[in-house]
Formats: sequence, C-alpha cells, structure tokens
Amino acid sequence: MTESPPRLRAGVECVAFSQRGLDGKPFRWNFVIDYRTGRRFAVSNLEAEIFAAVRRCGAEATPDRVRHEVRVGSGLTASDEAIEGLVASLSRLCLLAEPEESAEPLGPRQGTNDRETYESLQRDALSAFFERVVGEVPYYRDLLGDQEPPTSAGDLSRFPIMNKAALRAALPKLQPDWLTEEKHSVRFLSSSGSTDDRTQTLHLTDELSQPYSMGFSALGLNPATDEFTIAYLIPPICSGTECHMDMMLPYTRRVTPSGRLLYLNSFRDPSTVSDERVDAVLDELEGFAPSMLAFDAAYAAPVARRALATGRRLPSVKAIITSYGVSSSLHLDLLKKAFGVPVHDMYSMTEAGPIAGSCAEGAYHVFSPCLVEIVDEEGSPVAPGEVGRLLVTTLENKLTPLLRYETGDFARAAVDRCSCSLEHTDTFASLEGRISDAITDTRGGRVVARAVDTAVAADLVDGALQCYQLVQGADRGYRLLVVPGEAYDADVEAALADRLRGLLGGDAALAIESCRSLPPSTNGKYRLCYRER
Amino acid sequence: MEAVRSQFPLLKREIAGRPLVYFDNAATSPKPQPVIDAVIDYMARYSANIHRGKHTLSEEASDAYENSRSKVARFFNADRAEIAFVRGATEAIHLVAGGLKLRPDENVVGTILEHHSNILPWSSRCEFRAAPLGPDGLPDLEQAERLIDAKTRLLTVTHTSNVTGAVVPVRAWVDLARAHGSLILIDAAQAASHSDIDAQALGADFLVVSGHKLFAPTGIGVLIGRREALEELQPTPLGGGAVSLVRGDFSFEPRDLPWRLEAGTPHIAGAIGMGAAVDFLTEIGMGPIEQRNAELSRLLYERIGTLEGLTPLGSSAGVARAPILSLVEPTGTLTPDYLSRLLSDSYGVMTRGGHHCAHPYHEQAGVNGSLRLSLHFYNTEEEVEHTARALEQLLAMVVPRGP
Ligand SMILES: Cc1ncc(COP(=O)(O)O)c(C=O)c1O
Repeated sequence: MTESPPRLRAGVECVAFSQRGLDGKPFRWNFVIDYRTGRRFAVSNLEAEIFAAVRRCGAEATPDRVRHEVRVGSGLTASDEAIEGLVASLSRLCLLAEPEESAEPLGPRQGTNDRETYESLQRDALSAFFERVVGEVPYYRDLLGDQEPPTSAGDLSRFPIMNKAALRAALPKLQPDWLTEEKHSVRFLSSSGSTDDRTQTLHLTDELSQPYSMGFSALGLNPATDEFTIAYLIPPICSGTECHMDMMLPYTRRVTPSGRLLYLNSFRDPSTVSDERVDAVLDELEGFAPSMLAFDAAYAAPVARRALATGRRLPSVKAIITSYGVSSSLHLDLLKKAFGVPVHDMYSMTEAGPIAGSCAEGAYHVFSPCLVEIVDEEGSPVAPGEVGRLLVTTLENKLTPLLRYETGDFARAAVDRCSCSLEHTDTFASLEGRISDAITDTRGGRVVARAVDTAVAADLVDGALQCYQLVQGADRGYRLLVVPGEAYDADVEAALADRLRGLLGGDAALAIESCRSLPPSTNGKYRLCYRER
Repeated sequence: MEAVRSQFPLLKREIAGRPLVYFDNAATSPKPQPVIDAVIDYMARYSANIHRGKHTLSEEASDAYENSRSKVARFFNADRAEIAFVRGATEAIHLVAGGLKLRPDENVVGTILEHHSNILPWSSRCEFRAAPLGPDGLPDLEQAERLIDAKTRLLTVTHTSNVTGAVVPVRAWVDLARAHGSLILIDAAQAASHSDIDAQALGADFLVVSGHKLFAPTGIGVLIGRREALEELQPTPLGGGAVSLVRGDFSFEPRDLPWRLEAGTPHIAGAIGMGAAVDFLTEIGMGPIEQRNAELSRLLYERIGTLEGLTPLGSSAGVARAPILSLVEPTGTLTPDYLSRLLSDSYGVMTRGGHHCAHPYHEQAGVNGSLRLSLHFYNTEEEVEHTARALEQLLAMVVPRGP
C-alpha cells in the first residue's frame, strides 16, 4: 500500500489507441509511454483510469481522492485494495514518482502488476463472476444457487467440473436471462473435431476480438501499429465432413478485409506436400511480409525445411505463434532455426478464448480473464511439477460462461514462479497433450504426448525424422510410424527403439515402420500418439 | 409404432443424454433389424460369388440375389428383367446417360429442383437445360415444354424433392415426353420409400432408386427401365457377368437383360439387404406409410415450418409434400451448419445443414444452404415437438422476443 501522495512524473503520458481488432472490430488499447526512457507499457482500462485520475487531481492528489476520482470518472468497479495495489505498482515502475537511483533498468515488456495486486484483482473478478452467473445464468442458478461464493482461486475445487458433454447438453441454459430480452449481436463458434470432442458456444460479437489481442499483448507482442500483420498457416479443415461454417477458411477469404491477416494457402497433408506447393507458400509469405506468423507447427515444418534447404530468404518477423495442440520439438526446432525468432505457444479454445501463452522461458502464463486449475482424477489440485487435467474458468465471457470446464488437455503444474516479466501471473509449466491421445506403457501407466515427444525427438540427430506418430495397438503392441529425413539410418532407428523401450517398458512389443506419408487426423490436427480402439 | 421403432437399433442410441431423434432420412435411412440380419446371414453363412460357381454356397447366394431382384421387381410392379442392380441413383443415371451415347450438340431437359446427381451426368455429356419453378414451388411444366426441341433426347425430373419434399405430378411429365417423342427418366431416389410407385402404370422409360434411402444398405440401388428402353442402352461398363461370350478377336455377346448392365461382382450383400428392406416395407404397407407420412408432413410444416425466426423453403401448402422441410434463419447468425450441430449436440436431433447436393436450387432461392429436417413414418409427434422446442430455444438466443 502506498501512503505517499501519488504524483505523475514529468514526461509520462497515457495514450489510448482505438484500433481495429484482428477481426476488424474496434477496441481500445491503452499505453503508458515514458518518453524519458522510451519505455512503453500496455495497461488495462482500470490502470488508464488511475492515470487519468492522478492527472486530474494534480498537486492535490491523495490516495483517497484518487480512489474517489477513479470511481466517479470511470464508472469501473474495483475494490480499494485493487486500486491501491495498482497505484503502488505504477509507482514502483517509476511512472508516478521520481525514479530512485536504485531502481532497476526496466525492459519494454515489464508489466505493471505485482503478485499481490494480481491476486486481489483475481479474487474480485472471481466473486463478481460467481455473483453474476448465479444471478443471471439458469444453469448455474440451479447448480450453485445455495453455495457460498469462492473466496479464492484455490477455493474452486469444491465446485463441480463441467465436461464437453455437459456443455453440449446445457448450452441454452448457459446463457444469461437478459439474452432473450434485448437485442444483442451474437455469434456461434464451433470447435473442431467430431462427436465426443466438438462443441458449439455462443458469444457476444464484441467480446470476440479483444481476448486474442490481449493474448498477444500479454506476450509483449502488441506494437500498436499498422504494421502488425499476421500470416496463418493452419490446417485447412476442422472435421471430416464438408464445412459450410461462416469462418474464414483458407481457399475462401484469403486476406481479411483489414488487410492484416493472410491465410496462407494450406494443404491437407504436410507429409506429402509437393515442393511446388511449398514454394507457392514461400512466395505468398514474401509478398505479404507479415510481422508475425501464426502456425500449426506440423504444417509449417515443410515450409521451414524447404527454406533451409534452398537457402531462400524468409520474412523477418517478430515472433511465431503456435497453437492447435502439442507441437513436436522436431517441428519447433526447425521453425526456430529457419526463422530465427522465438516461438510462443498460444493456448486457446473456441469455447473459452485464449487461455495462456508461453513466454521466452517456456512457461505458460494464464491470461487474466481466465483461471486455470490442474487437477487429478478426483478434481483436486496436483502437486507442483505433476501432470493433471487442465480446467478453465472464464471470468469475463458474458455468454456461455464456464466454471471449471474440462479442456480435455493434460498440463504440468509449475514448480517455481517464472523469472520473466510476467512473473506475477498464474503459470503452468507445459501442455502435455490431449487426454484422448494419451497411451499407456506396458504396466498400464499413463504416457502423454509430451513424454512421447521428449523420448522420440529430444536431441535427435538433425534431419533424422520429418514426422512420426506412436500408435498403441488394441493388442497393446506399439508401432512407431516415421517419415524419415535425410539423416535417418540404422543407428537412429536403434536409438529410437531404445528410447521408446525406456519410455514404455523394456518388454514393449515395438515395431518401427518407415512410411512415405503420415496424414493428419480427420480434424486436421497432428497427433503425436494415440491408442487404437 | 413402438413395435416398428424397436426394429431400428439406431434409435436406441443416446446422444445429448436422450435417445436420438433421426431426422435425416432423406440423406439415408436407418437400417431395420431384418435388413441387418439378412446382410449378416449372407456374410456369415453363404458368402460366395454369384452366377459363376457351381458349389452349394454359390447356388445359395445366386438364389438369394435373384430372389431379391424378384422382390424389388414386385415392389415396384416391374418385370425382373427390368431391374438392374447398381450402386445407387447416381450410378443408375450414369448408366443411362452413358448408354444413350449422348452427343455434345444434343440436350437433356430437366429442372432446377434436381439433385446434383441428376444434373452432372447429363451436363458433362451434352447440354442440360433446367426448367424453373412455378409459383407453387413445383417445376414448371409449360416452361419445360418450351425447352424441348429436336435435339432433346431425354426429359428428366425428380419425383420428390430432397430439399422441399414437394411431390411432382410426374405422370404429366411422362405424357410430355411421350408427346415429344423423347425418353423420360424419373429420379425416384427420395420417392421410392415415400410413395407407392407402380413402374408399369407410370410408364417412364427409366426410374432410378437408391437402396440406402429405402432402409437398405448403402452401395445398392436399382435402375428400373422399360425393357425396350433398356435394350437400347449400350452397356457401359462392360466386364465379367455382362457378357455370355468373348471370342478370340475379343468381340462379345452381351448377356440378356438385366445382367448385361451388371458388369463385375455386384454388391451381393447389399442386394440381399435391399430384398429384406422391401419385405420390411411391404409388411408395413406402402399405403399406411404414405398416410402416416402425410400426417407427419402436415405436423412438420405446421409446427416447425411456421416458427418465428425461420423461413421455410419451397412449395406452397397446396402441394403434396413428403415430410421433408428445409429452413433458413434469415439473420444468418444461426447458419444451417450451426443449427444442425446444435440440434445434434445439445438436443440429440440428427438433421442436415448445407446444400443437400442442390446448389442450383439454393442459388435460385437466394440462400446459402439450409437446415433440412427429413422424417419418415417411424418418427413420432413427440420427436417433432422436441425438435420444435429445441429450435425455439435456439432462436430465442439469437432473436430476442422481448419488447
Ligand atoms: C433426389 C435425389 N436424387 C439422387 C440422389 C443421389 O442418390 P445416391 O447418392 O444414393 O446415388 C439423392 C440422394 O441424396 C437424391 O435425394
């Protein structure tokens, strides 16, 4: 808590950019710019209001007056604790007071929050969420009406978990009462996959663009400039049936109306795509010259491989964002090598929006509109460093709000706080693979996709494998299907067999089969492992 | 009704926490137990090739296969020689289109209501002219007549629309063809299980039927033809089973009808299943089925066709309709695909979203796809009500009813 009167430092400005989002809808960015040091911070609407309030109060600023001004001026609801916390952190970042001699030099990605404030905001958001959904959403009113609100994120474990089947069955009851009373602009979204996996969810159109932009922002990838352009290379399909969804898919609308997104001409099977097709993608990339790339690593791998092999120049981008599930380090390493930039993994779900993003250290930082839990079979939190089911609670989605929603993914709980500039956020160590893809070792123990990838791909000879898939047969035998690279030989094969026996058990019945192609599954995603049923 | 329903194992499956509602009969029908049993019986007890071997199993299989042909012939009041087993309506139409040796300067007159399968076999070989729809939603006979000229080889029309359920008065189309000396093909893919079709009384040159929409397995159907019309077809493809002799110079003698149209080992299990399917329908009776479907159609159009927030496609109320209804949500928030997914995932109702292989129809109607509910006699009033309520709930989410 700061008791010293907050003052704006000379040369510090808060500016708001109204910008078209990734889908062409307007939204607001707030930036605090420290002109003296050139530092720039993306700040929330609340933080921007605090700034404005301090400015309005001028020399008369006291903590009390600032709190009052924020409430009156902004209409935002925030607890005293939260406002004070933010004031304190703004101050610590030398934005409000004269910088102390001892203050560390601050990097441009430095956030403005500290852990304490983060937790206090999270508690506020959680109790507001609970009050809202119990008050206006029939599903939660019926389910939780007589329960005490959660007091903290840790307190969520006493509430029921919602799986996809429950979401499908409850969809209409998951909408707030007011939805049917007034006119709203809404959109359905549909997740990929088939029967057991897919879902339909309803969203307010306005809420759709913001979270993704915030996701990029949280990863320090939001220069509020017009040059922010993204090229996508992702699966061209999302299920085995013909698609008439109104989504922007490759082959239909290639460049979005804003001119900022390009869907590169994708292909069905990255393991057999011809050099000509890949060259066409490289031509498109060169022509569009994006500042960011959003890739499914398995689909981008042939592009990176071809560029490396032919010495072709690639556009210089700030970063690569991957998503669409656990990528093989075979492909991630290739992308890093070819493009020479960091790869951030953006973990998002159609139902929930963006959930977390991985930082330069590799940790996953949970985006603030979400709460994440990693739990065991009983729904209790796993110990640090352990793998469990990932549940998400969406604190801000007005339509289809989700409480303890079963994502269908395994994740590993963090051991330590991350040392990057997002250290104040909730984190988890890694995504470990789809629950439905997990296989078992010879003793029946669970083996997740990430473990398979570590065994197969970590520190493998460069160019030994293009891609692979480990299949557990219905009879408990295992087959490793590989599309060999130019450096594949008997030694590599022997090493792979050894590594897999180490993972699956010395007595594992294992066959390694070289294939010319390894097509993705019907929803377009690559599975590193799965079990035949 | 329960007795009939209990014969469909599919209806026991639960989706979204309730026994599923199958409203996608126009795409393919569920399979009743007697059909499943007949297929399994062939595969398990007398699986053998037909017409070739002389061993016991081959005799049994040939008997069963030909016996199915007799059943199907009786079902459509046709002669055995006039029934050729094919993969389905699409293949049947190709058999005719290929067999007529159409030339590019000739034409076939059809309608805008046709399924892609009754357009492309023609348009890929010659000119295809499509008669538009009249104000009642039926293909306009007078306009069709104007499209006929000296180069018109064949007239074709669907008996029952797979999009709007409209039942076309095909008799008049047969007469029109006769009057102009052209051949006529009736696409009975949808109609075959909905209407009591008497091939002889109808007098069309060709009738095409898909077994899988008639409670038989997929991959089987029949081309029904007037004997003289079938004789005129040049058999394509040729191969084993279609010829009685191939000489040293590779000239050949085609077999008699219908076998000359069935080159290669046919889908024996499917044909046997189709025999069981027509038995199943005969047992219930096409009369009662037609009557039941008329009731369901009325209910469907009254209860769901009038829902606020949805626009039905198709014919006016005076037109006879199979219980098939296609709808669009005009604001576009609930696209046909979303409607279909939501009905399936949240309510257990299987429907179809899309163009139903009728792009030209949707284009002239000015819509990008539709949601299709297609019922059959075993569907119930409760299922219609359940679906209506589901649609009401979904619509309420996107189209508020308040002030
Ligand atoms: C009216 C109509 N004609 C032709 C067909 C094609 O039938 P099949 O796919 O069985 O060959 C269909 C099937 O949807 C149809 O509804």
